[in-house]
Amino acid sequence: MATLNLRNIRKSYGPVETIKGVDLDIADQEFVVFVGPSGCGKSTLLRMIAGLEEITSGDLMIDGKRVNDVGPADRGLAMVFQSYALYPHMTVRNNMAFALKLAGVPKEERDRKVDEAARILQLGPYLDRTPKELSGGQRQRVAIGRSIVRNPRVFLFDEPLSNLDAALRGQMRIELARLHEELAATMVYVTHDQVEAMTMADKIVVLQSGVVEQVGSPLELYHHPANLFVGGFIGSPRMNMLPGRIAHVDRTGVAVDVAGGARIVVPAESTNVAAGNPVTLGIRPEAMRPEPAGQLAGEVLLAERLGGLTLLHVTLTDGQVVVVQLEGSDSTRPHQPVRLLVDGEACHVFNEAGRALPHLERHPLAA
Amino acid sequence: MSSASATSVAVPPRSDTSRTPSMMPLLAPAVGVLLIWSIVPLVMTVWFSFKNYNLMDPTVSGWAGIDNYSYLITDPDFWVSLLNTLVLVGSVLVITVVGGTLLAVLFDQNFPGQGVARLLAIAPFFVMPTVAALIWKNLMMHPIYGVLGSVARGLGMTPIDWFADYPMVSVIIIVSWEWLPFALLILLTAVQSLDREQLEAARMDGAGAFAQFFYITLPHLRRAISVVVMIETIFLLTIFAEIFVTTAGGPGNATTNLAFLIYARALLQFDVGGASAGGIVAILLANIVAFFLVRSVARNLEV
Ligand SMILES: Nc1ncnc2c1ncn2[C@@H]1O[C@H](COP(=O)(O)OP(=O)(O)OP(=O)(O)O)[C@@H](O)[C@H]1O
Ligand SMILES: [Mg+2]
Repeated sequence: MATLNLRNIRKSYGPVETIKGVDLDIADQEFVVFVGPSGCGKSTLLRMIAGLEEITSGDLMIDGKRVNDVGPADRGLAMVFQSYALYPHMTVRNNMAFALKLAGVPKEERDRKVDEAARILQLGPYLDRTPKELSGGQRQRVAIGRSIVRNPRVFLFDEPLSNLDAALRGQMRIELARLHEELAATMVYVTHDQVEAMTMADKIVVLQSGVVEQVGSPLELYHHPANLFVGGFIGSPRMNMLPGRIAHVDRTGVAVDVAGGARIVVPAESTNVAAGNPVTLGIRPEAMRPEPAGQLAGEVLLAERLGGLTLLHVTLTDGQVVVVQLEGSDSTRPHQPVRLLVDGEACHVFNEAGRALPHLERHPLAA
Repeated sequence: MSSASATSVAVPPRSDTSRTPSMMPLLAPAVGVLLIWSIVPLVMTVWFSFKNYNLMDPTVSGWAGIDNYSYLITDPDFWVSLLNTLVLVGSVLVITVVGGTLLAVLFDQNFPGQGVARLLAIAPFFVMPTVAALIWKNLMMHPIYGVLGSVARGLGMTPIDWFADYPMVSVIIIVSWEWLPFALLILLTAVQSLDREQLEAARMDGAGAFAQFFYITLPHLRRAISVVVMIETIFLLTIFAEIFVTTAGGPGNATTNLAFLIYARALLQFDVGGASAGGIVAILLANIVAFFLVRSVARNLEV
């Protein structure tokens, strides 16, 4: 129904360049999530797609047509704002029907469409209330309903769930995923929340300071981060980053020496590195476990028990602290010496410039 | 815990009532001043409105009964002044609210020189009514020396003698000029408190500039507008200095409002009794207006 193409999109506020050349292709019915640290330009990019912010240079294409100079209402998009931006003096019904009314749609058809949207979002009982008589989650649904009735080609969401409590957020996440399936629409979604990004996205776009760091499926980003930034940004708790040096390279991978002389072999491409190069070894918290034969030695600093998971903070011999994630409730106590066995296959090697050495084999789920 | 609640129950519930008498002397001065302040003039006005009392003619005295009132009500000047008051208040309200809203929306936009423009627009509010009226009378509207007259002559037209030909319009212009900044100030802060995302959402919904104004901005301004209307009404009912300085109520009674009529009765005709009756009518009028205004404004403020 709708594809989006961004070609070298740039945005400057005065002399400051905020978006520094973004290229992106969004396929029909795709659910794309923009993530990145605060101030990286996620909202700006979304607002440029919406037409609320002028595009300084580059081309924005919807269904292959350049729309840089098309007004926001005529791009066939709908946006859900973080603050919901409901019209406070209108009832829920009028809020949802506003766009149709402006478009001159006759009353019966308006009512029919609003009732249909209210059915999808379970808003039926609230149609005659004003926004301030609704709870946060209901307001959120009205904001979504307002965009549904216009039957847009693309939905844009700017952190729509960030004002909700954790339980409601989980529920709305499921509803949005269901809605995506039911409406079969293209969706672009901005969020801070790792879980939202990982669970809902077909494709995640990681942004930093106005630059796209990596685009890919959630598991691709998780298992094959392109660089240090993505490796550190995706995944919670964060990936452990240990400085090290390449010991030797061969066809089966790269051997890296880290803190205290431990040697870890990672099956990564070694074409562009040589022995002695300084590198960073990225180890996911779940890629380590205590084992007497482990490569890393250290002492447990703190054990966080979450019930289903245990997070061990371990001080290595060189003073660095790593986080280890274990299944279930582990009995390890603080100040206990441990050795950690590292699963080399799940580790990542980043060269001096911060780029990852590609793994020799792709993860089966990360196409 | 239990002992504390037991003692508090044991204390007789007299503490409030026993404190009241001892507080009365302390409150009395404040309440007394307030009482004298507001009640004495009112009572005196009511008192005089039933008396024959002329400053120039001490032989006329004694009770007048309702003569002052019946004389007032049968006086065509009174009805004209009542009408003039309503025309003045109504016109100025319409001009300042409509103009203030438009200016507020305008000044909310970003444009070079915004700060200076805002300052200039608000400046008239700081000019004293007498001074403002004098400036308008002598520097602006005077057919010979006035700016408007020069402009008219420059365009080859006959200058208008504003205060002779359009006295009420002239007074309305002056008073509107004084009160427009007030409306602008209140409405500008209200416009600025409007959530930008609402306007953006409306833009996404296909609302043009006019639809945004009528469907989003104007409803948002409703409370601020009702506040402006209430405050301005209270002050506009008693407009005096502008009329006194420019037209002195004339020509004839063309610009005599209730406040000026009362002044003329008391200090031009020295008829304190008749003036007091006019004052009582003015109080009643103000209260009726205030009653409806406060009710409608209070309803708006609840939202
Ligand atoms: N109107 C503006 N004028 C100047 N700079 C702006 C403007 N709007 C945004 N910026 C700058 O652009 C950068 C990106 O802002 P943006 O709102 O897109 O960040 P974001 O990624 O959405 O952050 P957050 O996650 O906190 O919402 C920021 O550094 C911000 O200061
Ligand atoms: Mg943002």
